[in-house]
Amino acid sequence: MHVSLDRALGFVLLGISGVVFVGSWKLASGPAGYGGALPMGLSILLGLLSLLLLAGTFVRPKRDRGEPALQHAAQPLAPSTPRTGAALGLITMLVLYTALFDFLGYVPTTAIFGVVYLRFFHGVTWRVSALTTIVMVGVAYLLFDRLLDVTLPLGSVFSVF
Amino acid sequence: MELVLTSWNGVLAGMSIALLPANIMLALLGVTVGTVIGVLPGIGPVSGIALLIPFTYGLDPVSGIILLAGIYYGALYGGSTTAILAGIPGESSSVMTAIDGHEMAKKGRAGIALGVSAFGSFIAGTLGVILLTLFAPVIARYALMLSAPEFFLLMCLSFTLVATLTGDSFLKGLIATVLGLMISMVGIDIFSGESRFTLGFPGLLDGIPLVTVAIAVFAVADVIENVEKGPSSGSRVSKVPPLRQMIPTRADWKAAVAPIVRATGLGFFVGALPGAGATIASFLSYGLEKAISKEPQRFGHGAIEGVAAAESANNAAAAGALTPLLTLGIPGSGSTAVLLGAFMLFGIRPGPLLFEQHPEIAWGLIASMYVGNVMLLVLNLPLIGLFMQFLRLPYAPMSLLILLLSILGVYAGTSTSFGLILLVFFGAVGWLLRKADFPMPPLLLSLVLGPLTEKSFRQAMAMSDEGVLIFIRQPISALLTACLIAVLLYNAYRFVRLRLPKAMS
Repeated sequence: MHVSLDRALGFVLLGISGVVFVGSWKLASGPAGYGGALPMGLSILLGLLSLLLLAGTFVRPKRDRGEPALQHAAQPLAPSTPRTGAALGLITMLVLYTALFDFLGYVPTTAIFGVVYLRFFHGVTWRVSALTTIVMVGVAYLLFDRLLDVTLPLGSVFSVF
Repeated sequence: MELVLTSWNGVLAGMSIALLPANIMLALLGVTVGTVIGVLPGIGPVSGIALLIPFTYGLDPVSGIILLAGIYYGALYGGSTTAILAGIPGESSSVMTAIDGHEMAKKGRAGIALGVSAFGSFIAGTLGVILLTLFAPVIARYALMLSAPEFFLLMCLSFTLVATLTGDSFLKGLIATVLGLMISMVGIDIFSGESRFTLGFPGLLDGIPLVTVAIAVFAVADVIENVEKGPSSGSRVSKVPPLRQMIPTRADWKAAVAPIVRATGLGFFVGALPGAGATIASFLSYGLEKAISKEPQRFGHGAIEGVAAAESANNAAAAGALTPLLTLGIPGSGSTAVLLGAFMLFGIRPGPLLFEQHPEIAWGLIASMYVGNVMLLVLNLPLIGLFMQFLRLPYAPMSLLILLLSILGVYAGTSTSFGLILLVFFGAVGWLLRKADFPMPPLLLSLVLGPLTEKSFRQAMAMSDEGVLIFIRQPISALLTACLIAVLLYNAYRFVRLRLPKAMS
C-alpha cells in the first residue's frame, strides 16, 4: 500500500544520514572530544536502517502490510477516498500563513486563513466560515494577547502608516 | 515500614498542596478538559497536553503539572464514553472497551457498561496511585545507585522497547527513534559550546523545542491527515441512559470485581514498561480475562468482564506510566514524554532526586491524582450527557480551533515566526511519516531523552579507560546490555521468522 512512499522516504532518510555523517565528521575530530561520536553513530545506524527499508520495498509482497498501528490518535469517523491534493494544499496554505504572519499581522492573516480553510477544505458556506473565523480569531486574540501576555504581531506592513 | 511511613508522610504533605483551592480548581479543569479530549475522537491526549502547555507558563510548577496530569488521566476516562455509546474509541486505549461496551449498549445495557467502566476506572486508578505511592520512593532510592553508563543503557533499552511495542514495524519504530535523537542534537553542544546541525539558522541555536515538535506531529499532522481523508459519514450514538441505570447491580459487581483487581495489577505493571502504555495494558488485560473465562464465547458480544478489564487496565497503566517518569526521568509513552517536556520547561528534571529536591512537586502530583480520580467519578456519570454533546461538534470548526491553538501555542513559546516555520515543517513531516505507518511516540520519546542520552554517553566515555567496555564492566550495566541485546535479537528473530518467508513467497 505504501511501497512507493516507503521507497521515497528510504532515499530521503539515506540522504539525511549522509549529510549528518559528513557534519559529524568535523565534530568528531574537533576539540569537542566525543561531540561527534553519537551523531556519527546515529547517522550510520540511520543509513543502515534506510537501506533495510529500501530493501523491503523491493522484496516485500504487496499483500503484506500487517495490522494498522495502534498508537496513532483515533480518527474522527469513517474515512472516505483520500485527497492527497487537499492535504498538500493545506500545507501550502500553512506555509503562506507563516510567511505572512509578521508582515500582515496576526488578525488579517488568521482571518484570511480561517475563511479559506473552512470554505475550501470543509465546504462550509462563506457566511458561516466568516462568522466562525471572526469569533475564533477574536477569542484567541483576547486569550493570548490580553490574558496570557503573548504579544501577537500587528503587521510590519501597517507600521509605515 | 520506614518506606511506608515516608510514603504516608509524603502523601499527607502532597495533600496540603493538592487541596489548595487554586490547585483543586486546576485539577478539576484538567480532568474536565481531559474528559472532553477523551470523548472527541479527533484529538488525543498527547495533542491535548501539548496544546495546553502554553497556558501553564504563568503558573507555578506544581500547579501546571497538576493541570497537565489531569488532562492525561482524564482523557483515559473520557475515551470509554465514546467507545460505549458510539462504538468509536475516543482514544486508542479504549479500543477494547468499544468491543463489549458498545455491544452492551446495543442490548440496552449502556448504563451498566458506563457504570462499570467508571467505577472500574476509579478503583483501578486509585489502586494504581496507591501502588505508585508505595513503589516510587523505593525505585527512586535504588535509582540513585545508577551512574552514567547505566542511565545510557537504560535509555537505549527504553528506545528499543518503545520501537518494538508501538506501531507494527520495529524497523520504522527504530527509524523514528533515530530521527528523534538526531533532532535533539540540533543546537549548541552543551559540552563544547559548538553549534551543531543548525544549517546556519540562528533560530536553531537553542535547539528544536519539544513542544513545537509534539504539537506538529500530533495536532497539526492529525488535521492534515483528516483533511486528506475527507468528510466523514457520521456515527450512530446510543441514547444516554439516566444516572440510576448506571449503578451496577450485585450480579454485575460479582462479575466485574475480579477482572478489575487483576487488570489493576497487570495494567500498572505494563504501564510502567517503556512503550507499553495504556493501550497494550487494555489489550493484554482483555486477552487475559477471555483466556481464563469459562465462557470465552461471550467476549465480543457484550461481556461485562471485558469492559471492566479493559477500562481498569488502562487507568491503572496511567499511574504505572508515571512511575518511571518520576523516579528515573524516563517516560514510557507519547503522553508522558510531553509531560516530561512540561517538567523541563518549568526547570525541573524528574529522576531519582525529584523526591528529595522537589518533594512538593512529586507528592503534590501524586496527591492530586487521588483527588482527580474522585472528581472524575463524581463528574463523569452525571455529566455524560453533556460530554456526549461534544461529539455533535462539526469537525471543521474544531480543526480550525486546533490549528489556531497550535500556531498561537508555539508562538507563545518561541515569540518568533521561526517557531511557526518549524511547526509547519514538522507537521508536514509528521503527516508523511504517519502516512507511511511510522509511529510517532518513539520520535517524541527520543527527542525528549536525547540530551540526557548524549550527556550520559559522554560522561560514561569520559569515565572509561577502556572505551565501550564500560557498558559491560559493572553487574547492572552488564544486565542492561544483555536485556538490550535480547530485545534486538528478538526483533531480528521476528523479522526472519515472519517477514522473510512472506518476502520469499
